[in-house]
Amino acid sequence: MTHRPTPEGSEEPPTARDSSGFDRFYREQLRPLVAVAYALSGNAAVAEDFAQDALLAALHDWPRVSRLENPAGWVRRVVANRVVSSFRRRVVESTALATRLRVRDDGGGFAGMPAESAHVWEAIRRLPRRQAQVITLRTLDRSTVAEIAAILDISEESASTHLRRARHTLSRQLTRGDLS
Amino acid sequence: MNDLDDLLDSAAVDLRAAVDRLLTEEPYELAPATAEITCPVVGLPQRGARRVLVAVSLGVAAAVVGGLIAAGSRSGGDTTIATPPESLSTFAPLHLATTPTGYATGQKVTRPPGISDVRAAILVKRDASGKVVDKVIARAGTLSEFAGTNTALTVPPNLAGATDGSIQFSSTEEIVRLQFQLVVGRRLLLEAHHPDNLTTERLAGEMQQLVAVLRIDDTNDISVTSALPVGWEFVAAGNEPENAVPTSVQAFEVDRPDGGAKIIVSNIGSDDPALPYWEMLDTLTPLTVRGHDGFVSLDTNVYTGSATPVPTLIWQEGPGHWVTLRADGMSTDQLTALAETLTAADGEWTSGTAGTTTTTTLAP
Repeated sequence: MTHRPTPEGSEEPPTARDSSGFDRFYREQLRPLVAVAYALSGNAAVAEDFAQDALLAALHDWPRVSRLENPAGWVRRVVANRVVSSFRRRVVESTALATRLRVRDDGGGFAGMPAESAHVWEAIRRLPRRQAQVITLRTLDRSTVAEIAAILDISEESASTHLRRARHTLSRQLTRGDLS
Repeated sequence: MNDLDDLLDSAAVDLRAAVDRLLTEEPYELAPATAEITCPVVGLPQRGARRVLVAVSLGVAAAVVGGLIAAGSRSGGDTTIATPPESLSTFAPLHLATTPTGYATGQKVTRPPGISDVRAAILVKRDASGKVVDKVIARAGTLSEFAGTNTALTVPPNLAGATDGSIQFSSTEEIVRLQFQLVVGRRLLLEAHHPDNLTTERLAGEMQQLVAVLRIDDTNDISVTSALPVGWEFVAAGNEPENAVPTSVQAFEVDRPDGGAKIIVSNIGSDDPALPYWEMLDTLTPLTVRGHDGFVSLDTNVYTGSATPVPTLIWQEGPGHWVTLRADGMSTDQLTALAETLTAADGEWTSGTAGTTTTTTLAP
């Protein structure tokens, strides 16, 4: 984790006063962030790591992040972007077979998810990166296209296109009886 | 509301419930504000701070962790994070000191080992020259059933107490997967990569022969009870490297903004001579890297999304220090040349700030 300077350029850590409001923010955001990370990574341990990474980044730069229009969107962007690139890295780097992490995950806390839902998330994870991010935010957070665009720092047109393509692919894959 | 929306809504509900179970089952504890915090990773106090973020997320403790982060980030700064007794002897991880032209610096992270009751074994098949041509990984422990089209299999008699078995051919993952329910909550999985349909039937048959000679004990350890099918070899068993203690993995990636080509260096603190077998996909070709005996393994596009196979080098740089290097879009020769440019990182990662301005040019 790289230390980010404060907006004023200081390298001083956040003080108790600076971190005012972070406790509540943390409590509110941990679960949805883990959910987003899990949806995109398929791995419980990784999901927690990424949620913590994003929250640490927020804490580290809290005076600035807390003044953003949408701090929750900011941490979602951190998670959504890091999960995709890092999960690919982890898979290739450490895996003997691509399912290795998912196997470990299944034993790590998400066991018991109905097979049909697990299949849906697997299909989402197989989508191109942006499509997976967009449909995940839409599905988990009920975010509007405008909100998704703001979170991912893309245009609304782009978000809409990714969402449409994701839905088209998922419709084809998931609603034609191949959920057995 | 259409079928897809119903499916997505249901999946969202189930995922949230799974997250709730996870976070309820493993509640985070508050760290004492003034206590030393032990870190499971050597030489990387800033990562230690990250690992305990949640533990110190409330009240004044937030300021404490902020102090720890800053201390760990400053070269030579004081830190209250203690070195754990189970630490590995340190090694200087290899890295690319400068950002290659056309790439942006990605993450530098250290991953602590995981915790799992799953034990695994690696079985490989070699051709006449000794080259590994097939690999099966077996895992036993707390594993969920993989969804998909499963065809029932007869449970072999050596799996005492097993109640059912199935085989699955995943074309999207290019995997043949055998699954057996051992007892409630415990499963045995055998997986192998099958790059094309021509190999599937043979591989599936040989995997069923393999499972018929495996023994799974009460602690999920996997061993072999009798002769393996012709050509197969049992090369490694136990806790998978990423779950083994103590093992630290350090890695960073150099990633283009489009998420395409990337370069990844991983440093793995392990003395396991079988590590290449754990890390490889299914092919493993001997190669000299930086003067050390090593291997190259090729990952196919189903795992990488790359149009061409992605080479990964693995070699033992020194005692207790394995290194892997992979790059999307490079040939094995280019990657081997890139490996020569790696340098030691003075015992721990230096700052990996995105947008690093120093650059170097990759070999063509």
